[in-house]
Amino acid sequence: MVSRKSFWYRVRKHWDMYLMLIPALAFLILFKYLPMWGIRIAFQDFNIFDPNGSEWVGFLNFQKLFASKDFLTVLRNTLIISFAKILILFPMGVIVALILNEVHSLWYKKTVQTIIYIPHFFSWIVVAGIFTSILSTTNGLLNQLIELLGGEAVNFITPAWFRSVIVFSAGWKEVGWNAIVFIAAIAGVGQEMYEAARIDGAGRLRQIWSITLPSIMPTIILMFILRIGSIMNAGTEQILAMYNPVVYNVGDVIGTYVYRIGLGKMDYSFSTAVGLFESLVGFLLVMTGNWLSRRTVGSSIW
Amino acid sequence: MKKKSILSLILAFAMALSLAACGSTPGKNNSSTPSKAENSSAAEPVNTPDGEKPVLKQLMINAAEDYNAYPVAADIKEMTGYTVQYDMLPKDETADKLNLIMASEQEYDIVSYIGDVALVMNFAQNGALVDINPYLDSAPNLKNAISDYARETFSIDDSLYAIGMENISFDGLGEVRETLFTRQDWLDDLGLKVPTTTDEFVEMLRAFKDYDNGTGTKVIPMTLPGNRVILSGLTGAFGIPNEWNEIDGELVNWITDPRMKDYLAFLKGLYEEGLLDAEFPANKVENQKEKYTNGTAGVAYFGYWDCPSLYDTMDQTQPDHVQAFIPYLVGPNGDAGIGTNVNSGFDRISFIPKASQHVDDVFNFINIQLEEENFRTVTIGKEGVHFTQDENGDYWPIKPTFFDERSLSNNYNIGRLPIYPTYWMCRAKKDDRQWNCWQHLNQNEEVKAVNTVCVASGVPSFPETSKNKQSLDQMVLDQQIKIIAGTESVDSWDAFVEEWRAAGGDAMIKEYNDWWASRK
Repeated sequence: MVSRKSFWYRVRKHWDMYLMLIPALAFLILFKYLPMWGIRIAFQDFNIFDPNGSEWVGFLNFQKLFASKDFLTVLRNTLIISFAKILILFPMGVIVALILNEVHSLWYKKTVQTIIYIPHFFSWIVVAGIFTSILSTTNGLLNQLIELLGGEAVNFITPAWFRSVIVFSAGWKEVGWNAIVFIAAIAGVGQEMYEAARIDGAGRLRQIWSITLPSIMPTIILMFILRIGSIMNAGTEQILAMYNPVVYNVGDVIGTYVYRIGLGKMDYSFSTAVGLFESLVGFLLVMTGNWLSRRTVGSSIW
Repeated sequence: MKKKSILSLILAFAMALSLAACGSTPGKNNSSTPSKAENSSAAEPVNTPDGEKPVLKQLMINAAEDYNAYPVAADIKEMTGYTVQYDMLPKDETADKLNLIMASEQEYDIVSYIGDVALVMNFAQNGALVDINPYLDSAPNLKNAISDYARETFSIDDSLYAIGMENISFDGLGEVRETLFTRQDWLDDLGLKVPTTTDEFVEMLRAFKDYDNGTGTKVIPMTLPGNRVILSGLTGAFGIPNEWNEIDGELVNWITDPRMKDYLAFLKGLYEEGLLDAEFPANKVENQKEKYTNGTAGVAYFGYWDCPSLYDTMDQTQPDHVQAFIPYLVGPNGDAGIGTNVNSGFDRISFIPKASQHVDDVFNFINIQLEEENFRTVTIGKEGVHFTQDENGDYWPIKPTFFDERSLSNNYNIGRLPIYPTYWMCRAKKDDRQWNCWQHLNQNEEVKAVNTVCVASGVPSFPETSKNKQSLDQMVLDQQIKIIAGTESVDSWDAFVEEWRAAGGDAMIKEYNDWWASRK
């Protein structure tokens, strides 16, 4: 009762602030909640040309999903690629931010920062094109180099290499961009702490370890939890642009699978079921991540 | 004061939002009108209030030029009075794109498509297409333009859902349209002849591998587009020229034929020896063309209609190029054949989506275009400008006007009058290089001897086949690529065939054989 009263009290006091919240809420409702009506497709035998005449089939599509042999492959690929991206690329963002922070020439720092985040604005189609031509077995830049050094040309779009290519190209494209948040967080750390540390005789590494990292830890955790939420999204657009049937068994992820089944075979119900499964797992992971972080580090999103 | 200005700002924003919302409502209502219009359309013509003709939207097959700016468009506008806005499908993954367009009910009035009957009939079965039959009486020219075979193929019960334009056939043989292209000039350099057997073919590819093409880049002996690994002149070398072949009185699909494994083993062998483009699975249609035209690849697969642009490009990039064609090869067991169809199959299919708002106008538009003189103007142009007629009544193109202004004309056709084959011969001669290739494929006695007409020619459409064909074809292509270029063994094909049967292959085989039995 008390809390409710204070809530309305706050609303009345800051009514203009709450009013400004309305567009954001409208956005959420319009673009995030209303489309959820589409989830029903997962429980129907959906006919796109006659949406209202579609038959309800309960959990049949989910049964089909868990029984299909593709499902395990696709889930495994999604998790492997996603974990590889998080384990390798997430710390890279922090490391790049820390390194850039140690650069004293402002001009140099800004230039490097700009150059490494520019690839973020390239479309995956362009990036895939660049990598395909660099990695090409015939007349590709990298293979020409390998052959010049006496090696044998390597076909990179094969099951043995495909995941590495995916993780590496994602790193090339996104690490600079991911670092920006951390660079901003580092800029907010009070200079007096560094001064005090220097007086106490702390070296550069000590300062990073004992001041910078702890100070930006809340940001790191926030970003990490958000990243965990999208673990089931291993980079659909990227893989779609780079894969082919030869590497389906190592590179086919939930997103690409949904695309192929949904559009290629017009099996909308099945692909919606796959998508819903993906979202549920993502939701659970965010909840768990948040809970874990509250328990262990004492800081969390909510 | 401060609060007031914030308030007015928010109010302005809210109003803008609500206006935007209002703006979107009529659009929403529109999407429900087609069904209404469809019910009442036969009774009342949907003319716009001031009697003006509406702008029609037509989705075309892919072409290198903009249909809106192409000269045929202006002629059509002049004769019909309708302004048409032309869009086109992409070059690759056409079926996916078409699915998406149909599923999102984009308001196209006419769609023209090259491809499988099954996909179109799948739309029809799902109720996405307008039934043409009720409109035929008011569009007599269109009625003339639909053959019995086309009517039979695209009908479900008493409804007709598409306008099929049949493949051309000559002397009882189906048209050979595609072939492997190779470089005669390279062969001359190497002292080789155009291969006639699979062994000679492999020998040629081996020689190409170390060939110095003068550009300093390595040669890819043979490339393919990533969406085609079954080349009918090549499967013929392994005894399976057509998708359906008769064995002991039954129709056998080449997927279940054990000789398909021999064919796949052959291609896998080429791949593993480095004779087949290591990156062919990722090739788009355009990549294969580029690799061939810039002199990187020695063999590639094209249709005769690719000749003009292919020669034009190579005259620039490879001035010494001389083309040779390999339409078929003789296989290890002496088999040879090129699969073709007679009185069967359609090279263009047009249909009218339910989402169309102007169904009556569409039929009026089509009917005007199919008046005899108009049809001739669209297809081969104007006498003295685009063509001449000799004393035998044959039409001859006037070069280069015909080529420049009528190359794409058959893509504008919606339905074809019975005279079309005559016009078609004129079209075929529009470019000497293309004509030469076409003659080689269709008038050369040696090639004619192996032209194998599919026994399942003239097959109507079947419900189960329509439903599953697209996904079955995708399954097959994926598995074949995995075998040829991936880690799967040729023997994995057996397990795959079982999967394919369960996924609808058996249902299709049954439909075909029931039809086959009923026909005898």
